[in-house]
Amino acid sequence: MIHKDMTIVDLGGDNWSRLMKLPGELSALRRAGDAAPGRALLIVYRGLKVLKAMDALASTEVQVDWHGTSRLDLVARQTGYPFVVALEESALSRVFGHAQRELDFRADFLEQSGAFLRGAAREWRRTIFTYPAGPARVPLVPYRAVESFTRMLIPDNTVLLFAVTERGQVWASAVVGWRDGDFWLLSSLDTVGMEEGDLRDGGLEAACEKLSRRFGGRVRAVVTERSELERLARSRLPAVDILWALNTGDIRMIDVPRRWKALLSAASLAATRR
Amino acid sequence: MQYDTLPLVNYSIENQRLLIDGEPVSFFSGSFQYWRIEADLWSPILERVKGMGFDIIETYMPWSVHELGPGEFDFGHANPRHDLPRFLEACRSAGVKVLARPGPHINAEMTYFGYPERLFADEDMMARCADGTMVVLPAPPRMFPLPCYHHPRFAAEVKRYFHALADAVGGARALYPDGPIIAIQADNECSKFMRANPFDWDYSEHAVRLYRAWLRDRYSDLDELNRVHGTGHRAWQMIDPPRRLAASRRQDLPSVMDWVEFGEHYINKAVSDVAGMLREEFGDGVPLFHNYPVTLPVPPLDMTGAEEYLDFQAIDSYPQRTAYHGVRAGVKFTSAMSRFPVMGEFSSGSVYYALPLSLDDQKFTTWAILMHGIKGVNFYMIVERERWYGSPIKRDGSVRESRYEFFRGLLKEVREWGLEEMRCERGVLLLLNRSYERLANVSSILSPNSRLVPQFLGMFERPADMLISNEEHGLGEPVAARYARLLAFWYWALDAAGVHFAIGDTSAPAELLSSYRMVVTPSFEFMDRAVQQRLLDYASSGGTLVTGPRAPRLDSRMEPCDVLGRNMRAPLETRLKADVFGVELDEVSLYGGEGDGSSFTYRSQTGSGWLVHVGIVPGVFCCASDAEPFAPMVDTLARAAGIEPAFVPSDPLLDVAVWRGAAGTLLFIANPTEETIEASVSHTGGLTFKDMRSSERYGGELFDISLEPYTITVLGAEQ
Repeated sequence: MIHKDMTIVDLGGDNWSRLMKLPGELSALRRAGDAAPGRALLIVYRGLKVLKAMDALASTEVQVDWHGTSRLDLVARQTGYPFVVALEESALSRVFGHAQRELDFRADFLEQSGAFLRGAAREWRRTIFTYPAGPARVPLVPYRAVESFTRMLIPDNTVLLFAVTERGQVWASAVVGWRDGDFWLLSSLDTVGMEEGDLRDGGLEAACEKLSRRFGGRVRAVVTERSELERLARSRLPAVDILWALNTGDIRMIDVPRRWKALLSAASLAATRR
Repeated sequence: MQYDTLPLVNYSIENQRLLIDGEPVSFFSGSFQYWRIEADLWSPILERVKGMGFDIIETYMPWSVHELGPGEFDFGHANPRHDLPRFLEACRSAGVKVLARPGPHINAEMTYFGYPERLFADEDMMARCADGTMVVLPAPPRMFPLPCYHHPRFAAEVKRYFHALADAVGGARALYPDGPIIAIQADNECSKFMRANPFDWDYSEHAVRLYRAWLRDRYSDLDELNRVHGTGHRAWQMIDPPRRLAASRRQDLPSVMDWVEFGEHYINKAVSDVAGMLREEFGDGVPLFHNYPVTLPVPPLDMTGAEEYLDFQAIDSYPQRTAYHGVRAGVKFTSAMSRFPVMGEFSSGSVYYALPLSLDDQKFTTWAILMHGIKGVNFYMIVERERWYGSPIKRDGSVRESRYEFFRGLLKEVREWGLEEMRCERGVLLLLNRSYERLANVSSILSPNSRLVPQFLGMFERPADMLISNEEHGLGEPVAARYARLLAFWYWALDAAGVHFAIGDTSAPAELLSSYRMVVTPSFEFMDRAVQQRLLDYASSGGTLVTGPRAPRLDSRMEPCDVLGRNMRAPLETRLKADVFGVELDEVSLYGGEGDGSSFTYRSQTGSGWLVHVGIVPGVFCCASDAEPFAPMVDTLARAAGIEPAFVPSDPLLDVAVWRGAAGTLLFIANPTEETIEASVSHTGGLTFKDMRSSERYGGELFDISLEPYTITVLGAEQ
């Protein structure tokens, strides 16, 4: 799904910087007012010996009475950590070992990553333990299912433009190309000289036209103002707000399949605060 | 090839500068990857590069780009972008010199890091983990297995590529002054691809053979090896490297430590073999260098060892401004240990998946490395290309004005101020102990994690032992974890006292030690015999050695050796969780009242110098403020060693460096925090200063200064 020789060009300077920072900024807005993130205790052990126990966020050492992986509840009670992860010292190298045993260097990157996930799943409750204990087995979605879903979701030969604007001018943008079952392109509006272009009054249509001429394929665009994104991030009912924004044009779309709109709404429904 | 008729470049490295034909080279370059840019744009772009003040560019010469198939290469006949001879000619015509980096490993965010894909089909050629699986590098856009550099077929493949490359560019004719190449890099970031835990890899047949040969060189006699390792091998071929850490007694350590030390040989031999191939193709008329992917080259990296077969060894760094101390520590190390301290790669823009580096970050971090002793920088990338963003020159040759202007101003200031001719003044050397570093690497929890990884998390700003096991290995205490904490303690305590210090490691020769008035280094129950002797010699010949908490009684083979330890006292009393200067320490050893009255330390005359034993085991120190209560103690030690702290800021969070040279004195003051700092700086030299940029004047023995967050001010002394 990720092309071996994926073209990643003209990401811009400020453009890509802003885009890279955007998820962090939006999650900060989303988290604002929430309780502090839960604390977690990480224990690395060998048999009945603790090699290191530390606060997973602060990296500070924690003294624990160790009774083995079957009694992590005691550790949690003693230390007051609501979440405890215990890793046998070889856990990581065993995960790598599983992955390396089955990994094909020609395979897709996502498929390769799956080998590591499967490795971790195999080590679950063998060398990787948590409190609360979690499921007996870690269910993994097969790569083929992900691939089929993606193929179903994205029409072939699509070039997707996602742009965030400030008063109509491009603030950050990404251009992603999908062809023959592969993401083959990652770029930005910088590639057509519109890193800070105006997308109002036909500007968006012109950008799509330029992208189409440059990369071929059918350009589909999703554009919104930065302030709108921030409003959605703060929203307690993002599904409602997104549907509203789609209907009012606060989120502008060109040639976007209905399934994307449905998916967007479903995803935002899942993000609704309880 | 014969080069008898070619003029050989007369190059040398003197006073931390590269000289070509006796002329110092201003070693500031930018990366430009020709095969990713239209050939017709090469010359216009070179002109723009020169416009910033660079007259050197650096480029990889990737194997996978130039190889069409086994033994079949394209240097321009199939694809004009691959026309390396034309590119070199464009550089020569433009008066731009070239740093050539032909690999074989190059990364450059290329799929398979520049290795031809076909290599990976030869599974026998690949390195192996302890469990026998191939070693996979989990990097996008394709993970791939890592080759064993000591496999003869891999070496033959590399050799064939280098031969084709040299043929294409005319061999030594591509070298300066006939051609533009002024230096060649042998391989790239050779560090076992950051999977540097000793029990991760390489256990392939050829690596194990090399290990046996290395042991044979080291011990000569199998009986001697069996005695030290506590084994009963009947032949060298029977020796198998340890695959996990199972050292519950200290007698188990020598065999493990040998395997760890072999890891350094594994890397050095790989690079030196590549360097040998390059020498064969290009001759001796060009400096060879290499670059490490981390700033602080702790084992298995070995800067001293590398400079035995290379002309210089560089470091790489892509820091955010918040990583100030990590970069500072590495630069302090490299500027002390390398004969030519260079940043082989320093960020200009970012790789597509990395957090962005703003222009303000760029300004701050660039001046930070120059402030602490880097004498040359290759900015990676100065010309943008695929999978990279934010460089001053774009792929089409247009410029990003703000970044372009920054580099132009930077080079102008460096040259106008004469920084390249000056030396950073430091009286103290904080010495890393390579044996303890090896133990710390062995004790790194969760292999493949290694001692190299914490550098990306903040080596001193977070608990220094966070990824090191608390195991004692029969040594009576968790030496590796305590060593890491001690290093952090001294790093911050020296900082808090305003004592200017460099960082080195125990591979430093005696001459290097003797150029510092004071050497600070942790000591535990064991210490390498030669290191004990060198430290003692240093003190005996007039230096001040500050060490502790333990008096070494064993060498690194765990055999009795108290060369240094016999000059140190046993404590009268040891207190756990004791309070010193209002700070709780893990352990304090008391030696009776002497000196300044703090009985956890004493000073004894050793020859014409001094040995200062400091008997503390600190807890966690993560910033200068943590160590501030110890600043008076460090100040006393420094003054007793004849070091007058020259420029001391009233706020220990401000960082100061002093440069002196024929051109004058420069004072760098950095604010590496998120807050504006208003402080005073005291000094005793009777100088007045002028801000090198604003011309504002600062006089008197105490002057006030205000620094915005993450900024560096440069003051010049007025005579």
